[in-house]
Amino acid sequence: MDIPRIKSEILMQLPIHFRTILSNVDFSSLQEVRFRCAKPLMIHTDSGDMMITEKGERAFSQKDSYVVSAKDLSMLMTAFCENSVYAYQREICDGFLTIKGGHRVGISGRCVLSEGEIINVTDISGLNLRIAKEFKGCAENLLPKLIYNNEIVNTILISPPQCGKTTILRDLSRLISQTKKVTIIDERSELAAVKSGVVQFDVGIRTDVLDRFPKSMGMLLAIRSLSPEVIITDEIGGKEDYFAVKSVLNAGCRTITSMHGYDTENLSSERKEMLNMFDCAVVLAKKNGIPEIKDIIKLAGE
Amino acid sequence: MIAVLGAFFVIFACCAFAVKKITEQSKAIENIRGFKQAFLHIAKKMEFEAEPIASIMDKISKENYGETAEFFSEVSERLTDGTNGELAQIWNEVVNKYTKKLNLSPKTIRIINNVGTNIGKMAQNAEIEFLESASKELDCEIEAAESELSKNSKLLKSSGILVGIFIVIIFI
Repeated sequence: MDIPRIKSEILMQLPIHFRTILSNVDFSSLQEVRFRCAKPLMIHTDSGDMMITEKGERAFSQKDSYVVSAKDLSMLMTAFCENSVYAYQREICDGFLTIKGGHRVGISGRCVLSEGEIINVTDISGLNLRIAKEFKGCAENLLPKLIYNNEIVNTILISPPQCGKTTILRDLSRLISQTKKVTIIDERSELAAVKSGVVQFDVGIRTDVLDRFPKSMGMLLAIRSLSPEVIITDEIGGKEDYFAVKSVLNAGCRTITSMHGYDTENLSSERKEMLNMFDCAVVLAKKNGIPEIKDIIKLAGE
Repeated sequence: MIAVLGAFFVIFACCAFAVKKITEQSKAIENIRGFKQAFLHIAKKMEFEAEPIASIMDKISKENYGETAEFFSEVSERLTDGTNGELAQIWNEVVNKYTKKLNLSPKTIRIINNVGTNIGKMAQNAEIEFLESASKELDCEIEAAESELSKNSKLLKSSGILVGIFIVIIFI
């Protein structure tokens, strides 16, 4: 993990004021930076939450901490959107932005609905900057367990947020593409973090990336035009995703994807039905705050 | 002989001054046209490429929009210089810098500044509509400037000659 690169990458995307504050923060254990309107600036590290002073040091009481203002949030939003809200409109409606380097900014604010659909999020009340980190080799022990008869089995990773689904998918892509053609459908620019056509993470030499494609459309397009042997995508959920995965499997292509959940049992009936399409489920969880593979379950597969 | 040459020189200088004024006015019209085309181009890029504004401006600055290209180039450079400044502020500062050079009228400056204050903050459709309406406003400015130019060009040329003759008479 190249911490200095991640640090400078993030600081460069912040308004100068926050750049100064966060330049003193240790990025090696940093997971999140929380900007909440009229609340202390907080960071979340491996060892828990802490408030931050104006000098970027740990604040031990609320009154010593830097309080985030509405203007700060507006400046941060402008910087994260690169002064171009229209370019991030779809992501804003989804509740988050992916910035350079694959880091994710979660948005909380007032939702504007039209005909039942979110068309905007205004009056931003909080931003959550989640740091994306690349752990090369984190899937090396897992990959052999996903191979049967020299073929990758259709696999789904299941875990709650922040257990490393995306990180493992990214590393699986890198490892599999040493021998097979891989296509990543990166709906949120998180897996490969493409910026101006350049892939920011190492996702392998035989990997094509469909950046910001809706998963269902991207999967079908990939089968038609990129002849992948394995398709990797993150966080499937909707009905369209279900049908798209089915089409991928019918086309003889292998799929590795992920889903939010705690295990294969406590899922909605719709999601359980989805699991039937896969050969294997990998359940991830945190143990003592560290993400790990909790279980590998053989599924029915279709 | 010297008096005649001097008289010709003074008349020529006055005419040249008149021509210079006319050229400046036509250049100003060209610059407004440059902004109008650039705004429409930005709207199209927003619609079909959804790229961030800095990258659009950079591309625009490389297209042929005459002197306005420099303006967009500077805005793009300042947006990507790592200070993460707000577009509205940067745009207004660059407009102020280029006002004299581009010879723009106060109304044109108001229209252009209004674009800088608002773009980048709206949804895609709203951005496009806004830029198209700004282009229409610039169209009106171009029309007004063109009719003024045709009026002024005759007036300036004849007044240049008259002033020249007048100065010669005074000296003689």
